[in-house]
Amino acid sequence: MTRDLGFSGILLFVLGLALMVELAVGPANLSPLEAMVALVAGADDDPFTMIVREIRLPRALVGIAVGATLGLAGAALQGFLRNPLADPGVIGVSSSAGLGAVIAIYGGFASGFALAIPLFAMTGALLATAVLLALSARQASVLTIILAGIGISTLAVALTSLVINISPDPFAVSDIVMWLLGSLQNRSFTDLWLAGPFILLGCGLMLAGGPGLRLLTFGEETAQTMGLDLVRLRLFVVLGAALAVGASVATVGAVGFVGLIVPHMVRPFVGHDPGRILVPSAIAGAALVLLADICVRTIPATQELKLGVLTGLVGAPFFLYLVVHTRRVMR
Amino acid sequence: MSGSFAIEARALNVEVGGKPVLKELSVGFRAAQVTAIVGPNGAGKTTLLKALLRLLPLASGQVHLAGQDISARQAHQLAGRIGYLEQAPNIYWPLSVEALVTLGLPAAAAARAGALEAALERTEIAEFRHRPVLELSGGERALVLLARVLATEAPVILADEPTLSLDPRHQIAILECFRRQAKAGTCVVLVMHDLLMAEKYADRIVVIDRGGLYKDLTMPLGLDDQTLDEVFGIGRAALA
Repeated sequence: MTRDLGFSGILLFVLGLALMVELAVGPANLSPLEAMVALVAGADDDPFTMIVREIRLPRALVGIAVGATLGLAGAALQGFLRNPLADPGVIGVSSSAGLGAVIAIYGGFASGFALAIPLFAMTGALLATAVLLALSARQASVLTIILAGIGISTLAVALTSLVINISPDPFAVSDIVMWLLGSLQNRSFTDLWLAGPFILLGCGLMLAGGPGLRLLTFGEETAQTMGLDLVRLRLFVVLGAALAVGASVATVGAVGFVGLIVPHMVRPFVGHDPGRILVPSAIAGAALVLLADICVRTIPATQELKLGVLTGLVGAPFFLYLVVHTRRVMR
Repeated sequence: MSGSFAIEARALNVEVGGKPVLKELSVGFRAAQVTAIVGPNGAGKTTLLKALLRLLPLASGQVHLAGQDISARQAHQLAGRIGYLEQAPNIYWPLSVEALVTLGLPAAAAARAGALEAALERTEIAEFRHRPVLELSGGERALVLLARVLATEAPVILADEPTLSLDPRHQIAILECFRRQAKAGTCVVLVMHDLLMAEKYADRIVVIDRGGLYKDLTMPLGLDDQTLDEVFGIGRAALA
Protein backbone atom coordinates (compact mmCIF):
# COMPACT_ATOMS: atom_id res chain seq x y z
CA MET A 1 0.00 0.00 0.00
CA THR A 2 2.84 2.41 0.86
CA ARG A 3 4.50 1.49 -2.42
CA ASP A 4 1.25 2.26 -4.27
CA LEU A 5 0.93 5.67 -2.64
CA GLY A 6 4.57 6.44 -3.35
CA PHE A 7 4.22 5.50 -7.01
CA SER A 8 0.99 7.46 -7.36
CA GLY A 9 2.78 10.43 -5.77
CA ILE A 10 5.57 10.19 -8.36
CA LEU A 11 2.98 9.97 -11.15
CA LEU A 12 1.19 13.05 -9.78
CA PHE A 13 4.51 14.89 -9.74
CA VAL A 14 5.12 13.93 -13.40
CA LEU A 15 1.56 14.99 -14.23
CA GLY A 16 2.15 18.34 -12.51
CA LEU A 17 5.34 18.90 -14.51
CA ALA A 18 3.56 17.92 -17.73
CA LEU A 19 0.76 20.37 -16.92
CA MET A 20 3.27 23.19 -16.42
CA VAL A 21 4.93 22.44 -19.75
CA GLU A 22 1.56 22.01 -21.50
CA LEU A 23 0.50 25.48 -20.35
CA ALA A 24 3.77 26.94 -21.65
CA VAL A 25 3.85 25.27 -25.07
CA GLY A 26 2.32 26.99 -28.10
CA PRO A 27 2.78 29.79 -30.58
CA ALA A 28 2.92 32.37 -27.79
CA ASN A 29 6.28 31.48 -26.30
CA LEU A 30 6.29 31.23 -22.48
CA SER A 31 8.45 29.44 -19.96
CA PRO A 32 6.65 27.02 -17.62
CA LEU A 33 7.22 29.46 -14.78
CA GLU A 34 5.76 32.39 -16.74
CA ALA A 35 2.78 30.23 -17.66
CA MET A 36 2.17 29.36 -14.00
CA VAL A 37 2.46 33.01 -12.98
CA ALA A 38 0.03 34.00 -15.73
CA LEU A 39 -2.37 31.27 -14.61
CA VAL A 40 -2.29 32.09 -10.91
CA ALA A 41 -1.53 35.80 -10.67
CA GLY A 42 -1.83 37.28 -14.16
CA ALA A 43 -3.92 40.39 -14.82
CA ASP A 44 -7.24 39.57 -16.47
CA ASP A 45 -6.54 41.84 -19.45
CA ASP A 46 -3.01 40.51 -20.03
CA PRO A 47 -2.93 38.65 -23.39
CA PHE A 48 -0.64 35.92 -22.06
CA THR A 49 -2.95 35.40 -19.10
CA MET A 50 -5.90 35.09 -21.45
CA ILE A 51 -4.02 32.62 -23.62
CA VAL A 52 -3.06 30.47 -20.65
CA ARG A 53 -6.43 30.64 -18.90
CA GLU A 54 -8.81 30.55 -21.84
CA ILE A 55 -6.98 28.43 -24.41
CA ARG A 56 -4.28 26.31 -22.83
CA LEU A 57 -5.84 25.51 -19.46
CA PRO A 58 -9.06 24.00 -20.87
CA ARG A 59 -6.99 22.10 -23.43
CA ALA A 60 -4.82 20.71 -20.61
CA LEU A 61 -7.78 19.89 -18.36
CA VAL A 62 -9.58 18.10 -21.20
CA GLY A 63 -6.36 16.18 -21.84
CA ILE A 64 -6.11 15.19 -18.18
CA ALA A 65 -9.77 14.10 -18.06
CA VAL A 66 -9.50 12.10 -21.28
CA GLY A 67 -6.16 10.54 -20.37
CA ALA A 68 -7.35 9.57 -16.90
CA THR A 69 -10.50 8.07 -18.40
CA LEU A 70 -8.62 6.02 -20.98
CA GLY A 71 -6.02 4.78 -18.49
CA LEU A 72 -8.64 3.88 -15.90
CA ALA A 73 -10.99 2.28 -18.43
CA GLY A 74 -8.14 0.22 -19.86
CA ALA A 75 -7.16 -1.05 -16.41
CA ALA A 76 -10.77 -1.74 -15.39
CA LEU A 77 -11.63 -3.57 -18.62
CA GLN A 78 -8.43 -5.64 -18.57
CA GLY A 79 -9.31 -6.69 -15.03
CA PHE A 80 -12.97 -7.32 -15.79
CA LEU A 81 -12.34 -9.25 -18.99
CA ARG A 82 -9.22 -10.86 -17.46
CA ASN A 83 -7.42 -10.09 -20.66
CA PRO A 84 -4.24 -8.00 -20.69
CA LEU A 85 -4.84 -7.04 -24.32
CA ALA A 86 -8.28 -5.51 -23.74
CA ASP A 87 -8.74 -1.76 -24.16
CA PRO A 88 -11.66 0.70 -24.08
CA GLY A 89 -12.32 0.12 -27.79
CA VAL A 90 -13.30 -3.48 -27.07
CA ILE A 91 -16.79 -2.51 -25.86
CA GLY A 92 -17.57 -0.64 -29.08
CA VAL A 93 -18.44 2.67 -27.44
CA SER A 94 -15.49 4.58 -28.94
CA SER A 95 -16.50 3.68 -32.50
CA SER A 96 -20.13 4.54 -31.79
CA ALA A 97 -19.19 7.94 -30.38
CA GLY A 98 -17.09 8.46 -33.49
CA LEU A 99 -20.07 7.58 -35.68
CA GLY A 100 -22.21 10.13 -33.85
CA ALA A 101 -19.60 12.84 -34.48
CA VAL A 102 -19.30 11.85 -38.12
CA ILE A 103 -23.07 12.14 -38.57
CA ALA A 104 -22.94 15.61 -36.98
CA ILE A 105 -20.28 16.71 -39.48
CA TYR A 106 -21.88 14.98 -42.48
CA GLY A 107 -25.31 16.39 -41.69
CA GLY A 108 -23.96 19.91 -41.45
CA PHE A 109 -25.02 20.25 -37.82
CA ALA A 110 -21.44 20.89 -36.72
CA SER A 111 -21.06 23.98 -38.88
CA GLY A 112 -24.15 25.64 -37.40
CA PHE A 113 -23.77 24.62 -33.77
CA ALA A 114 -20.41 24.23 -32.05
CA LEU A 115 -21.58 21.60 -29.57
CA ALA A 116 -23.18 19.40 -32.21
CA ILE A 117 -20.17 17.11 -32.46
CA PRO A 118 -19.86 16.27 -28.75
CA LEU A 119 -23.64 16.03 -28.37
CA PHE A 120 -24.05 13.68 -31.32
CA ALA A 121 -21.01 11.68 -30.21
CA MET A 122 -22.38 11.35 -26.68
CA THR A 123 -25.69 10.20 -28.13
CA GLY A 124 -23.85 7.58 -30.19
CA ALA A 125 -21.93 6.43 -27.10
CA LEU A 126 -25.08 6.21 -24.97
CA LEU A 127 -27.00 4.29 -27.63
CA ALA A 128 -24.10 1.84 -27.92
CA THR A 129 -24.02 1.53 -24.12
CA ALA A 130 -27.73 0.72 -24.03
CA VAL A 131 -27.34 -1.92 -26.74
CA LEU A 132 -24.28 -3.38 -24.99
CA LEU A 133 -26.04 -3.59 -21.64
CA ALA A 134 -29.12 -5.14 -23.26
CA LEU A 135 -27.01 -7.74 -25.07
CA SER A 136 -24.93 -8.49 -21.99
CA ALA A 137 -27.85 -8.71 -19.59
CA ARG A 138 -27.97 -10.60 -16.35
CA GLN A 139 -26.33 -13.93 -17.15
CA ALA A 140 -23.90 -12.73 -19.83
CA SER A 141 -20.42 -14.20 -19.92
CA VAL A 142 -17.26 -12.25 -20.62
CA LEU A 143 -17.25 -13.75 -24.10
CA THR A 144 -20.76 -12.40 -24.75
CA ILE A 145 -19.68 -8.91 -23.72
CA ILE A 146 -16.58 -9.03 -25.94
CA LEU A 147 -18.57 -10.36 -28.90
CA ALA A 148 -21.32 -7.76 -28.36
CA GLY A 149 -18.63 -5.04 -28.21
CA ILE A 150 -16.99 -6.29 -31.41
CA GLY A 151 -20.37 -6.39 -33.13
CA ILE A 152 -21.26 -2.84 -32.09
CA SER A 153 -17.80 -1.57 -33.01
CA THR A 154 -17.82 -3.27 -36.41
CA LEU A 155 -21.25 -1.86 -37.24
CA ALA A 156 -20.24 1.66 -36.12
CA VAL A 157 -17.05 1.54 -38.20
CA ALA A 158 -18.98 0.25 -41.22
CA LEU A 159 -21.55 3.04 -40.90
CA THR A 160 -18.75 5.61 -40.49
CA SER A 161 -17.16 4.28 -43.69
CA LEU A 162 -20.54 4.45 -45.41
CA VAL A 163 -20.96 8.11 -44.45
CA ILE A 164 -17.47 8.92 -45.73
CA ASN A 165 -18.17 6.90 -48.87
CA ILE A 166 -21.43 8.64 -49.81
CA SER A 167 -20.51 12.13 -48.66
CA PRO A 168 -20.69 14.51 -51.67
CA ASP A 169 -18.72 17.21 -49.84
CA PRO A 170 -14.92 16.69 -49.88
CA PHE A 171 -14.52 19.31 -47.13
CA ALA A 172 -16.89 17.38 -44.88
CA VAL A 173 -14.90 14.20 -45.57
CA SER A 174 -11.72 16.03 -44.65
CA ASP A 175 -13.32 17.32 -41.44
CA ILE A 176 -14.53 13.82 -40.58
CA VAL A 177 -11.12 12.23 -41.12
CA MET A 178 -9.33 14.97 -39.17
CA TRP A 179 -11.80 14.68 -36.27
CA LEU A 180 -11.44 10.91 -36.16
CA LEU A 181 -7.67 11.28 -35.75
CA GLY A 182 -8.18 12.79 -32.30
CA SER A 183 -6.97 16.13 -31.01
CA LEU A 184 -7.07 18.47 -28.01
CA GLN A 185 -6.85 21.49 -30.29
CA ASN A 186 -9.37 24.28 -29.59
CA ARG A 187 -11.04 22.43 -26.73
CA SER A 188 -12.82 24.79 -24.36
CA PHE A 189 -14.33 24.82 -20.90
CA THR A 190 -17.69 24.20 -22.58
CA ASP A 191 -16.39 20.82 -23.79
CA LEU A 192 -15.23 20.09 -20.28
CA TRP A 193 -18.59 20.99 -18.69
CA LEU A 194 -20.39 18.86 -21.26
CA ALA A 195 -18.24 15.75 -20.91
CA GLY A 196 -17.15 16.22 -17.30
CA PRO A 197 -20.23 14.84 -15.52
CA PHE A 198 -20.24 11.68 -17.64
CA ILE A 199 -16.51 11.24 -17.16
CA LEU A 200 -16.76 11.74 -13.39
CA LEU A 201 -19.72 9.38 -13.07
CA GLY A 202 -18.08 6.75 -15.28
CA CYS A 203 -14.73 6.93 -13.49
CA GLY A 204 -16.49 6.75 -10.10
CA LEU A 205 -18.32 3.59 -11.17
CA MET A 206 -15.12 1.97 -12.42
CA LEU A 207 -13.23 2.82 -9.23
CA ALA A 208 -16.09 1.37 -7.16
CA GLY A 209 -15.56 -1.89 -9.03
CA GLY A 210 -11.97 -2.23 -7.78
CA PRO A 211 -12.55 -4.77 -4.98
CA GLY A 212 -14.67 -6.93 -7.29
CA LEU A 213 -11.99 -6.87 -9.99
CA ARG A 214 -9.50 -8.26 -7.46
CA LEU A 215 -11.77 -11.22 -6.69
CA LEU A 216 -12.19 -11.92 -10.41
CA THR A 217 -8.54 -13.01 -10.39
CA PHE A 218 -9.95 -16.48 -9.61
CA GLY A 219 -12.65 -16.44 -12.30
CA GLU A 220 -16.35 -15.70 -12.02
CA GLU A 221 -17.62 -18.71 -10.06
CA THR A 222 -15.00 -18.68 -7.32
CA ALA A 223 -15.20 -14.88 -7.11
CA GLN A 224 -18.93 -15.08 -6.50
CA THR A 225 -18.43 -17.54 -3.65
CA MET A 226 -15.95 -15.02 -2.20
CA GLY A 227 -18.58 -12.29 -2.12
CA LEU A 228 -18.57 -10.82 -5.62
CA ASP A 229 -21.91 -9.55 -6.90
CA LEU A 230 -21.14 -10.17 -10.55
CA VAL A 231 -24.21 -8.42 -11.93
CA ARG A 232 -23.37 -5.24 -10.02
CA LEU A 233 -19.70 -5.36 -11.01
CA ARG A 234 -20.64 -5.81 -14.69
CA LEU A 235 -22.88 -2.76 -14.45
CA PHE A 236 -20.19 -0.71 -12.71
CA VAL A 237 -17.41 -1.53 -15.15
CA VAL A 238 -19.27 -1.75 -18.45
CA LEU A 239 -21.54 1.24 -17.80
CA GLY A 240 -18.72 3.23 -16.17
CA ALA A 241 -16.31 2.62 -19.04
CA ALA A 242 -19.00 3.30 -21.63
CA LEU A 243 -20.04 6.62 -20.09
CA ALA A 244 -16.53 7.92 -19.47
CA VAL A 245 -14.97 6.69 -22.71
CA GLY A 246 -17.99 7.78 -24.74
CA ALA A 247 -17.75 11.28 -23.29
CA SER A 248 -13.98 11.36 -23.89
CA VAL A 249 -14.24 10.30 -27.52
CA ALA A 250 -17.10 12.78 -27.96
CA THR A 251 -14.78 15.54 -26.79
CA VAL A 252 -11.46 14.79 -28.49
CA GLY A 253 -12.03 12.05 -31.05
CA ALA A 254 -10.31 8.69 -31.09
CA VAL A 255 -7.07 8.52 -29.10
CA GLY A 256 -5.91 4.95 -29.45
CA PHE A 257 -3.59 2.72 -27.41
CA VAL A 258 -3.57 4.84 -24.21
CA GLY A 259 -6.04 2.52 -22.50
CA LEU A 260 -4.18 -0.53 -23.70
CA ILE A 261 -0.63 0.38 -22.78
CA VAL A 262 -0.99 2.45 -19.59
CA PRO A 263 -1.95 -0.48 -17.30
CA HIS A 264 1.11 -2.36 -18.59
CA MET A 265 3.33 0.61 -17.81
CA VAL A 266 1.95 0.71 -14.26
CA ARG A 267 2.11 -3.01 -13.39
CA PRO A 268 5.91 -3.27 -13.02
CA PHE A 269 5.65 -0.70 -10.20
CA VAL A 270 2.47 -1.68 -8.34
CA GLY A 271 2.04 -5.32 -9.34
CA HIS A 272 -0.73 -7.13 -11.21
CA ASP A 273 -3.53 -6.72 -8.66
CA PRO A 274 -6.39 -5.49 -10.90
CA GLY A 275 -7.85 -3.34 -8.12
CA ARG A 276 -4.60 -1.64 -7.17
CA ILE A 277 -3.67 -0.53 -10.68
CA LEU A 278 -6.83 1.54 -11.21
CA VAL A 279 -5.78 4.84 -9.61
CA PRO A 280 -2.15 4.77 -10.86
CA SER A 281 -3.44 3.95 -14.36
CA ALA A 282 -5.75 6.98 -14.28
CA ILE A 283 -2.91 9.31 -13.25
CA ALA A 284 -0.46 7.74 -15.72
CA GLY A 285 -3.05 8.01 -18.51
CA ALA A 286 -3.53 11.70 -17.79
CA ALA A 287 0.24 12.30 -17.78
CA LEU A 288 0.72 10.29 -20.97
CA VAL A 289 -1.94 12.22 -22.91
CA LEU A 290 -0.50 15.55 -21.75
CA LEU A 291 3.03 14.46 -22.72
CA ALA A 292 1.73 13.27 -26.10
CA ASP A 293 -0.01 16.61 -26.60
CA ILE A 294 3.20 18.46 -25.73
CA CYS A 295 4.96 16.37 -28.39
CA VAL A 296 2.37 17.07 -31.10
CA ARG A 297 2.72 20.78 -30.37
CA THR A 298 6.50 20.83 -30.44
CA ILE A 299 7.33 18.39 -33.26
CA PRO A 300 8.08 20.54 -36.31
CA ALA A 301 5.49 19.81 -39.02
CA THR A 302 3.61 21.69 -41.71
CA GLN A 303 0.53 21.37 -39.53
CA GLU A 304 0.05 20.16 -35.96
CA LEU A 305 0.17 16.37 -35.69
CA LYS A 306 -3.03 14.80 -34.44
CA LEU A 307 -2.93 13.28 -30.96
CA GLY A 308 -4.39 9.97 -32.09
CA VAL A 309 -1.71 9.70 -34.79
CA LEU A 310 1.09 10.10 -32.26
CA THR A 311 -0.40 7.72 -29.68
CA GLY A 312 -0.91 5.20 -32.47
CA LEU A 313 2.65 5.56 -33.74
CA VAL A 314 4.06 5.04 -30.25
CA GLY A 315 1.40 2.60 -29.06
CA ALA A 316 1.43 0.11 -31.92
CA PRO A 317 5.08 -1.00 -31.48
CA PHE A 318 4.48 -1.13 -27.73
CA PHE A 319 1.47 -3.34 -28.40
CA LEU A 320 3.61 -5.76 -30.38
CA TYR A 321 6.11 -5.81 -27.52
CA LEU A 322 3.22 -6.57 -25.15
CA VAL A 323 2.10 -9.54 -27.21
CA VAL A 324 5.55 -11.10 -26.86
CA HIS A 325 5.98 -10.08 -23.20
CA THR A 326 2.48 -11.21 -22.20
CA ARG A 327 3.03 -14.61 -23.77
CA ARG A 328 5.98 -15.07 -21.42
CA VAL A 329 4.58 -13.58 -18.18
CA MET A 330 0.97 -14.81 -18.41
CA ARG A 331 1.70 -18.36 -19.54
CA MET B 1 -31.87 -35.26 12.03
CA SER B 2 -31.43 -32.52 9.44
CA GLY B 3 -30.32 -30.12 12.17
CA SER B 4 -27.04 -32.00 12.48
CA PHE B 5 -26.05 -31.30 8.89
CA ALA B 6 -23.66 -28.46 8.19
CA ILE B 7 -25.07 -28.22 4.67
CA GLU B 8 -27.95 -30.11 3.17
CA ALA B 9 -29.80 -30.54 -0.13
CA ARG B 10 -33.51 -31.31 0.22
CA ALA B 11 -35.38 -32.78 -2.76
CA LEU B 12 -33.26 -30.75 -5.18
CA ASN B 13 -34.25 -30.49 -8.80
CA VAL B 14 -31.79 -28.58 -10.95
CA GLU B 15 -31.87 -28.09 -14.70
CA VAL B 16 -28.91 -27.13 -16.85
CA GLY B 17 -29.67 -25.94 -20.36
CA GLY B 18 -33.28 -27.06 -19.95
CA LYS B 19 -32.27 -30.64 -19.09
CA PRO B 20 -32.90 -32.06 -15.61
CA VAL B 21 -29.55 -32.89 -14.02
CA LEU B 22 -30.47 -33.33 -10.35
CA LYS B 23 -33.71 -35.18 -9.64
CA GLU B 24 -35.27 -35.02 -6.18
CA LEU B 25 -31.80 -35.33 -4.65
CA SER B 26 -31.64 -35.21 -0.87
CA VAL B 27 -28.32 -35.49 0.91
CA GLY B 28 -26.72 -33.81 3.92
CA PHE B 29 -23.10 -33.31 4.95
CA ARG B 30 -21.85 -33.19 8.53
CA ALA B 31 -19.23 -31.12 10.26
CA ALA B 32 -15.89 -32.73 11.20
CA GLN B 33 -16.16 -35.22 8.33
CA VAL B 34 -14.62 -35.65 4.91
CA THR B 35 -17.37 -36.76 2.55
CA ALA B 36 -16.43 -37.90 -0.95
CA ILE B 37 -19.02 -37.56 -3.68
CA VAL B 38 -18.34 -40.10 -6.41
CA GLY B 39 -20.13 -41.07 -9.56
CA PRO B 40 -19.60 -41.35 -13.30
CA ASN B 41 -19.17 -38.33 -15.55
CA GLY B 42 -22.46 -36.51 -16.01
CA ALA B 43 -23.97 -37.96 -12.83
CA GLY B 44 -24.56 -34.46 -11.39
CA LYS B 45 -21.72 -34.16 -8.85
CA THR B 46 -20.50 -30.72 -9.93
CA THR B 47 -24.10 -29.55 -10.39
CA LEU B 48 -24.82 -30.58 -6.81
CA LEU B 49 -21.86 -28.53 -5.52
CA LYS B 50 -22.92 -25.48 -7.56
CA ALA B 51 -26.49 -25.81 -6.35
CA LEU B 52 -25.28 -25.98 -2.73
CA LEU B 53 -23.11 -22.90 -3.39
CA ARG B 54 -26.13 -21.13 -4.91
CA LEU B 55 -24.30 -20.66 -8.18
CA LEU B 56 -27.11 -22.44 -10.04
CA PRO B 57 -30.84 -21.74 -9.80
CA LEU B 58 -33.03 -24.44 -8.29
CA ALA B 59 -36.01 -25.75 -10.23
CA SER B 60 -37.36 -26.89 -6.88
CA GLY B 61 -36.14 -28.09 -3.50
CA GLN B 62 -34.14 -26.38 -0.80
CA VAL B 63 -30.58 -25.88 0.37
CA HIS B 64 -29.98 -25.51 4.10
CA LEU B 65 -26.77 -24.17 5.62
CA ALA B 66 -26.38 -24.74 9.37
CA GLY B 67 -30.13 -25.35 9.50
CA GLN B 68 -30.99 -22.12 7.70
CA ASP B 69 -32.80 -22.16 4.36
CA ILE B 70 -30.49 -20.43 1.85
CA SER B 71 -32.42 -21.43 -1.28
CA ALA B 72 -33.30 -17.81 -2.06
CA ARG B 73 -29.74 -16.56 -1.51
CA GLN B 74 -27.11 -15.96 -4.16
CA ALA B 75 -23.54 -17.20 -3.97
CA HIS B 76 -22.03 -13.83 -3.09
CA GLN B 77 -24.29 -13.54 -0.07
CA LEU B 78 -22.72 -16.67 1.45
CA ALA B 79 -19.10 -15.51 1.37
CA GLY B 80 -17.16 -16.70 4.39
CA ARG B 81 -19.74 -19.40 5.15
CA ILE B 82 -18.87 -21.81 2.33
CA GLY B 83 -15.36 -22.18 0.90
CA TYR B 84 -15.20 -23.38 -2.71
CA LEU B 85 -12.40 -24.92 -4.69
CA GLU B 86 -13.55 -25.21 -8.25
CA GLN B 87 -12.56 -27.83 -10.78
CA ALA B 88 -9.38 -26.87 -12.69
CA PRO B 89 -9.37 -23.34 -11.25
CA ASN B 90 -7.79 -20.47 -13.14
CA ILE B 91 -5.57 -17.74 -11.77
CA TYR B 92 -5.62 -14.88 -14.24
CA TRP B 93 -2.96 -12.53 -12.86
CA PRO B 94 0.55 -13.35 -11.62
CA LEU B 95 -0.01 -12.19 -8.04
CA SER B 96 2.20 -13.36 -5.21
CA VAL B 97 1.10 -16.32 -3.13
CA GLU B 98 0.54 -14.06 -0.14
CA ALA B 99 -1.61 -11.62 -2.14
CA LEU B 100 -3.74 -14.43 -3.52
CA VAL B 101 -4.31 -16.14 -0.19
CA THR B 102 -5.47 -12.89 1.43
CA LEU B 103 -7.78 -11.85 -1.43
CA GLY B 104 -11.30 -11.41 -0.18
CA LEU B 105 -10.39 -11.69 3.51
CA PRO B 106 -11.68 -9.12 6.00
CA ALA B 107 -9.85 -5.80 5.88
CA ALA B 108 -8.67 -5.90 9.52
CA ALA B 109 -4.90 -6.33 9.29
CA ALA B 110 -4.48 -8.55 12.34
CA ALA B 111 -7.23 -10.94 11.29
CA ARG B 112 -5.78 -11.13 7.79
CA ALA B 113 -2.29 -11.83 9.05
CA GLY B 114 -3.50 -14.55 11.42
CA ALA B 115 -5.59 -16.29 8.75
CA LEU B 116 -2.75 -16.03 6.24
CA GLU B 117 -0.15 -17.53 8.55
CA ALA B 118 -2.44 -20.37 9.63
CA ALA B 119 -3.37 -21.22 6.03
CA LEU B 120 0.25 -21.14 4.83
CA GLU B 121 1.29 -23.34 7.73
CA ARG B 122 -1.50 -25.87 7.21
CA THR B 123 -0.70 -26.23 3.52
CA GLU B 124 3.09 -26.06 4.11
CA ILE B 125 3.67 -23.39 1.45
CA ALA B 126 5.09 -20.61 3.62
CA GLU B 127 8.37 -20.80 1.69
CA PHE B 128 6.56 -19.72 -1.52
CA ARG B 129 4.76 -16.77 0.03
CA HIS B 130 6.50 -14.04 -1.96
CA ARG B 131 6.68 -15.86 -5.30
CA PRO B 132 4.33 -15.08 -8.21
CA VAL B 133 1.85 -17.92 -8.29
CA LEU B 134 2.14 -18.43 -12.05
CA GLU B 135 5.79 -19.43 -11.54
CA LEU B 136 4.78 -22.37 -9.34
CA SER B 137 4.17 -25.94 -10.46
CA GLY B 138 0.62 -27.26 -10.83
CA GLY B 139 0.86 -29.08 -7.49
CA GLU B 140 2.14 -26.01 -5.68
CA ARG B 141 -0.60 -23.86 -7.23
CA ALA B 142 -3.21 -26.35 -6.02
CA LEU B 143 -1.86 -25.95 -2.49
CA VAL B 144 -2.01 -22.16 -2.82
CA LEU B 145 -5.65 -22.34 -3.90
CA LEU B 146 -6.40 -24.65 -1.00
CA ALA B 147 -4.66 -22.20 1.35
CA ARG B 148 -6.90 -19.45 -0.04
CA VAL B 149 -9.98 -21.46 0.89
CA LEU B 150 -8.61 -22.39 4.34
CA ALA B 151 -7.80 -18.75 5.09
CA THR B 152 -11.50 -17.90 4.86
CA GLU B 153 -12.06 -20.20 7.88
CA ALA B 154 -15.41 -21.20 6.37
CA PRO B 155 -17.17 -23.96 8.34
CA VAL B 156 -18.03 -25.76 5.08
CA ILE B 157 -15.60 -26.48 2.24
CA LEU B 158 -16.78 -27.82 -1.10
CA ALA B 159 -14.04 -28.93 -3.50
CA ASP B 160 -14.59 -30.18 -7.03
CA GLU B 161 -11.93 -32.73 -7.98
CA PRO B 162 -9.21 -30.99 -5.97
CA THR B 163 -6.57 -33.55 -6.95
CA LEU B 164 -7.23 -33.38 -10.69
CA SER B 165 -3.99 -33.56 -12.74
CA LEU B 166 -1.77 -33.68 -9.67
CA ASP B 167 1.09 -36.10 -9.06
CA PRO B 168 0.63 -38.63 -6.21
CA ARG B 169 2.71 -36.60 -3.74
CA HIS B 170 0.57 -33.48 -4.18
CA GLN B 171 -2.65 -35.52 -4.21
CA ILE B 172 -1.72 -36.92 -0.82
CA ALA B 173 -0.65 -33.50 0.48
CA ILE B 174 -4.01 -31.98 -0.53
CA LEU B 175 -6.09 -34.82 0.89
CA GLU B 176 -4.09 -34.84 4.15
CA CYS B 177 -4.83 -31.12 4.48
CA PHE B 178 -8.53 -31.79 4.05
CA ARG B 179 -8.40 -34.53 6.69
CA ARG B 180 -6.69 -32.20 9.18
CA GLN B 181 -9.28 -29.53 8.41
CA ALA B 182 -12.13 -31.97 9.05
CA LYS B 183 -10.55 -33.03 12.32
CA ALA B 184 -10.59 -29.38 13.32
CA GLY B 185 -14.38 -29.40 12.82
CA THR B 186 -14.91 -28.33 9.21
CA CYS B 187 -17.44 -30.01 6.96
CA VAL B 188 -15.37 -31.07 3.93
CA VAL B 189 -17.11 -32.29 0.77
CA LEU B 190 -14.94 -33.51 -2.09
CA VAL B 191 -16.03 -34.54 -5.57
CA MET B 192 -13.60 -37.32 -6.50
CA HIS B 193 -12.97 -39.69 -9.35
CA ASP B 194 -10.18 -41.68 -7.70
CA LEU B 195 -12.24 -44.27 -5.85
CA LEU B 196 -9.30 -45.76 -3.96
CA MET B 197 -8.29 -42.32 -2.66
CA ALA B 198 -11.90 -41.69 -1.72
CA GLU B 199 -12.01 -44.90 0.28
CA LYS B 200 -8.71 -44.05 1.96
CA TYR B 201 -9.31 -40.42 2.90
CA ALA B 202 -13.08 -39.98 3.25
CA ASP B 203 -15.16 -40.73 6.32
CA ARG B 204 -18.15 -41.23 4.12
CA ILE B 205 -18.79 -41.85 0.42
CA VAL B 206 -21.90 -40.58 -1.32
CA VAL B 207 -22.51 -42.23 -4.69
CA ILE B 208 -24.45 -40.09 -7.17
CA ASP B 209 -25.84 -41.60 -10.35
CA ARG B 210 -28.08 -40.03 -13.02
CA GLY B 211 -28.91 -37.07 -10.83
CA GLY B 212 -29.98 -39.04 -7.78
CA LEU B 213 -28.49 -40.54 -4.64
CA TYR B 214 -27.48 -44.12 -5.40
CA LYS B 215 -25.79 -45.08 -2.15
CA ASP B 216 -24.55 -43.49 1.07
CA LEU B 217 -21.63 -45.38 2.63
CA THR B 218 -19.95 -44.70 5.95
CA MET B 219 -16.35 -45.84 6.18
CA PRO B 220 -14.79 -48.33 6.68
CA LEU B 221 -17.51 -49.72 4.44
CA GLY B 222 -15.96 -49.46 0.97
CA LEU B 223 -17.59 -49.40 -2.42
CA ASP B 224 -19.19 -52.78 -2.96
CA ASP B 225 -18.98 -54.84 -6.14
CA GLN B 226 -22.60 -54.16 -7.06
CA THR B 227 -22.07 -50.36 -6.90
CA LEU B 228 -18.86 -50.56 -8.90
CA ASP B 229 -20.58 -52.65 -11.52
CA GLU B 230 -23.91 -50.79 -11.75
CA VAL B 231 -22.64 -47.21 -11.43
CA PHE B 232 -19.15 -47.32 -12.89
CA GLY B 233 -19.31 -50.45 -15.02
CA ILE B 234 -16.11 -51.86 -13.54
CA GLY B 235 -15.02 -54.54 -11.10
CA ARG B 236 -12.90 -54.16 -7.96
CA ALA B 237 -9.91 -55.60 -9.83
CA ALA B 238 -9.95 -52.62 -12.20
CA LEU B 239 -9.24 -50.24 -9.30
CA ALA B 240 -6.06 -51.96 -8.19
